[in-house]
Amino acid sequence: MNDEKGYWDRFFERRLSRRHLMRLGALVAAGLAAGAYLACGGEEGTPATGTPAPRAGAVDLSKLNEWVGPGGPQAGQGQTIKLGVILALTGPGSYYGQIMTKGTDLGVEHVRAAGGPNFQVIYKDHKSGDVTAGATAARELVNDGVQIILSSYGAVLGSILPVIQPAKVLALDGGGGTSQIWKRQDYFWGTRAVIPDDTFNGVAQYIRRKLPNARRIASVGWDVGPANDPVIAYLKQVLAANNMELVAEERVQIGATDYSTTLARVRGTNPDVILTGLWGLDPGYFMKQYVTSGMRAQVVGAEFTPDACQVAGAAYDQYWFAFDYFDLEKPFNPWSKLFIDAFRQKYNQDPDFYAANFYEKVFIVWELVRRVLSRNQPITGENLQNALKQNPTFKSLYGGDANNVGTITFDLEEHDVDKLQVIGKVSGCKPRVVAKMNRERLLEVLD
Amino acid sequence: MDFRGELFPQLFTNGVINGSWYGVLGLGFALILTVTGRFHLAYAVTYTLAAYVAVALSQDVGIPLGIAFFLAVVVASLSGVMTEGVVYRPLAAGGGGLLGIFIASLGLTIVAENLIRLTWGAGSASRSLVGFPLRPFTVLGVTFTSLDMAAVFTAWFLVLALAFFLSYTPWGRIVNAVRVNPEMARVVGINTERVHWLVFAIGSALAGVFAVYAAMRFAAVPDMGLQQTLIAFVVAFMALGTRPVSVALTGLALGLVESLSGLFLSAQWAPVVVFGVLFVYLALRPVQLRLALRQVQRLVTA
Repeated sequence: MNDEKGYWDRFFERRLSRRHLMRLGALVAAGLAAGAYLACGGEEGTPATGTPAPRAGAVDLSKLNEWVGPGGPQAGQGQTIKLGVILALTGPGSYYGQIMTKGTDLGVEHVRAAGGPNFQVIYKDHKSGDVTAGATAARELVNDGVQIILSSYGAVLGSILPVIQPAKVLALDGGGGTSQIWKRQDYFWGTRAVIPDDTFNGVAQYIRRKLPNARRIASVGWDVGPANDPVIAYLKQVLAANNMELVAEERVQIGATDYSTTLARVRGTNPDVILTGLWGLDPGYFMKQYVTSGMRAQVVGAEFTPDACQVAGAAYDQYWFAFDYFDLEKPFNPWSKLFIDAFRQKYNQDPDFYAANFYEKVFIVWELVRRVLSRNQPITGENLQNALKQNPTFKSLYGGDANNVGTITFDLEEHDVDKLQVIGKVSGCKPRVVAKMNRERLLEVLD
Repeated sequence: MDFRGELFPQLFTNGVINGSWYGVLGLGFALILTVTGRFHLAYAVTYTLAAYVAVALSQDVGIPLGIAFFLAVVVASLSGVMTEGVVYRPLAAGGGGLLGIFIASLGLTIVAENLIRLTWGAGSASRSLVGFPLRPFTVLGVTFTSLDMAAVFTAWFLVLALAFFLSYTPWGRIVNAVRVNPEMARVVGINTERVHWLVFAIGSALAGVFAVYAAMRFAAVPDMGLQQTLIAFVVAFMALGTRPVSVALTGLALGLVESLSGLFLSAQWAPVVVFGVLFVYLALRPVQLRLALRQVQRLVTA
């Protein structure tokens, strides 16, 4: 051990001056600080992604009040309201966390500019679907007096429900929505279509038109325990109605990268179409390996994100997707266009569906706050939910036309919304809408 | 055709591909563990760093893929040496012990992962390494790619090269001497500090090679190293002895078991199978089985 004991002496003599050591110390400290900063998801009211400060006046917001309602003291101006946001800030789904953070921050900025309250955003990290982290985050927010939470991953795969319900804290989810299994849950509402279920009818009808010989359908999806069962049951029902059958049902871990075993098992069933229930980077990994698997089935995924496309590269040119997509090329209405312009200006990147949903959710919260204040009630989760139930329709980035903003209406029984959805194809990581649909049927085929 | 009948050869091939990969990762980990006594969890850092360096050099700087590959392996090797020189050895000199080094290694892994997220922070920091002529081949109904073939050939070339190095070169014999009896090695004048650096350099280079393959096969992501390090640990732990071919065969066996479990189980159970094998091994390994397996391996590697 003698040579180890003398190590420090020789180390300093030969290689390290005090200046070098101080530099090294600073580097390690910076690394630790960076890790702590990312792990904690940033300070209260500060986005974890290092979002630049708002640039006031960058986009003309003068028509915002005309579209979404009046501002002023009766709409919460001058008040500070805590807004809890539970996102995938780290882990394989951190793309979502970052883009949702940007949408939320922009929404908060626009609400304030339109004469609404000052939302004090408190970000928490659920580490890409870690139910323990999700429940812990919700508990911390409830203990902090938060009355409304914006969540993702379907109430972080259901884990926040046992926390928010007894505390009577309202939660809106525009990331994963309610799914089938968390519908009709008190204090929990989805602001997107039920995924992937709501796409099944439209996709099956589109396949019948474009791939008339396709009969054998395989399903590859995240293993989310009992939440899988109603999805598969409904899929079988839809396929049977369209003269198709489910020939394989493969479950994979969230965040899986190696699909060699899954692809071998699916290949053995000789499917014509593979429907994937994969999100985050996972569809990118899947497609990258799928194109060299020797199969010729058409893959139809549950979403498109540029991040997953970056992983898959040219393999994504063989990928179709189906979900409640936010169209950047043809904005639904003038508010959508304003959002897209403002987002591009603020972040120097295109927004996506998730950014749009979280931006829109901030405005839904503002509308609820406005209604509660108009009745001289305190801002509590219970009062906010009652305000939602009394009038479940809200202004939306989705729908509408060139002159009128759209609306979304919550189903008071199911706690979800029926949004316009699309089927899209990809070329060079550019998505292109080829069909539109709702949860019942295909509405329009463009290609 | 019988589903199982068609499935088996494909899963077997997948198992050979992944198992060869696991074998080399296990070999690097085992070499470091057995010669230096460091439980080098920061192997994950080396792995991840090599993948990102290859992507950055190839795609951001525009260096040809082959050169970027080589430089990434060099960086991986240096990163391992630096970890030993700057973190582990001073800790060991200060009486940090095995636990102290393990905790430092874990901390280093967390910090490095977050620094990578900050450095390549756009989106989820995922970067795919393109440029390898990726072609699928189908032979007797079994599909694999040119990248898979390259990885398997590289793996076994490295295993045999390391076996030759350790058995037939003076430096290899010195490494073996330090592994078997470090005190005696010091007494006879061997500089064990240099030997430690050498095995960190070699072990980390092995991780670097397959990190670059992983960036081509999947993508470079900040947390890509930990899962592979855990597999490397399982392989290193289960390998009977430290001879390169033995460790590589253990990795191959683990890959085959993991892949062939797909005959009966869905893919989400594959990680459970890997650690299940370790558990069964730890719980049930009788001395007789160990001796019998050692005899078999001696015959195979003779």
